[in-house]
Amino acid sequence: MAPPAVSASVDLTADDPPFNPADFVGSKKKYPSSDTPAAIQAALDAVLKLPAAHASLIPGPNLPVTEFLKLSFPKKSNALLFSDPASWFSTDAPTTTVECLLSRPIPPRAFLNDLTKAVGQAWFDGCMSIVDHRYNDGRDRVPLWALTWWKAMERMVDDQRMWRKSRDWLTTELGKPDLASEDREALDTAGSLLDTLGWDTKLGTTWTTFNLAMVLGAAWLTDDHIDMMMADLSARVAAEPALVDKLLIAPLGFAMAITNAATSKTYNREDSTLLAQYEEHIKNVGLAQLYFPVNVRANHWIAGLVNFKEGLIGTGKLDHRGILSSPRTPRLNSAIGQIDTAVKLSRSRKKAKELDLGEEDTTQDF
Amino acid sequence: MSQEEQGLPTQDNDVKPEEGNNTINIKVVSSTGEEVFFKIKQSTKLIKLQSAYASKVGKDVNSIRFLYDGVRINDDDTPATLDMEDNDTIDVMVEQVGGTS
Repeated sequence: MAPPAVSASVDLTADDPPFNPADFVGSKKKYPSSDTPAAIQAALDAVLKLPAAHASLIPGPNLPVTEFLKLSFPKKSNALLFSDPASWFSTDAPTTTVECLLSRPIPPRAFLNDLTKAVGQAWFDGCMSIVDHRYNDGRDRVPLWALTWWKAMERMVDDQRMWRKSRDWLTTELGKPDLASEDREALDTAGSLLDTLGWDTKLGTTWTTFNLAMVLGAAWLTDDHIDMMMADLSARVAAEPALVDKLLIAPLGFAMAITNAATSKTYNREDSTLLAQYEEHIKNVGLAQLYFPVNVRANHWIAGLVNFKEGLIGTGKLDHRGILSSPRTPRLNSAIGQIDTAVKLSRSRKKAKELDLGEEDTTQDF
Repeated sequence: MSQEEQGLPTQDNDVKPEEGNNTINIKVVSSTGEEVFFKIKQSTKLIKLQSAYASKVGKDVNSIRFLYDGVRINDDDTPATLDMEDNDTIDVMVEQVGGTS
């Protein structure tokens, strides 16, 4: 198979030239909206940064969910704005106070995006304020950082709506008369946690508690949720001395590596370094079982298992309680087929024999 | 979150980048096999690479997942903090969603 074509080569090592505001701000030079030099972007970010007094009005991420839900934010406007975003900027100094921003609706998201695209050029053109054409016949001039304020408030409104939806779902579920006792207990626990759980507290380095809001409901789970679960399962396995060298929980990256290897039909160590690392680890510790999540047809999550001791692979679905309940379906999707292919190829190699895979092509449901 | 915490095998035999070698080449590979090569300083945050890649392929950076050795790259990671070596590969995965039965 021919190697993939190189689509581009990018050098990110060049140092940006020093940024002197006098050379750009008010110069009416063209703002580099793509590949913006870091120094220029940093200077614009400083212009748009909320003053400390106003930033303090935005709730911190560790505020408990129940308290977060009590807060009032400006409403989001769905009004259609047909004015040119560039006409929303002025060289006049700001004339309004923060009360004005607190009392007026947040402009629509699409228009905020348009303003964000236009603000760099407006800044280069010497603009110092935003003209709110919606009020006072466009005579008000709000600070440029109002754009940051509106975007922050818009996010607060959306995130609060998500958490409210989650809390309402909990209430609805708890009101169902036929609720199983263990489900009621789990829902009660989740509801109680909302009194102490921060609405957007960091969870490790990748996720925040806001990711958990979407778990309380019937919405589809994202790869973030799946990898959060795998990280939790992995930590629980690591805490069990009897399991730690027998069972491995892999994140989504494992299935992706299998898929990539199958797509490119490269099964060597150089092109599949992650799989090579797994192979080495599996052999070194004599691992018995490997569990991993797989996304199929871009709309479904299933669990995969490789049992190295018995030479079996299998897939399964989780029921609503997270219990593996369904056997492998006859309509295998391409991802599972690729896993099968990769494992078969691996087993045919000398190194794979050291993994103690069986000679027969066997697949186990679980 | 460490590799061990994510259930990934550790890399005992890593070769550290040569001292004084301040830049490395990194290959970013999409799920369809398309490759983009980046030359980047060891100390530069990889969010710069992620943003440049997203801009080049015309996608929202938040809709793309960047993985090194199967683990998600965070905004504050740098090639140095991840012990990346010259010609290492970053895999790109689009955001995935799904339900269950």
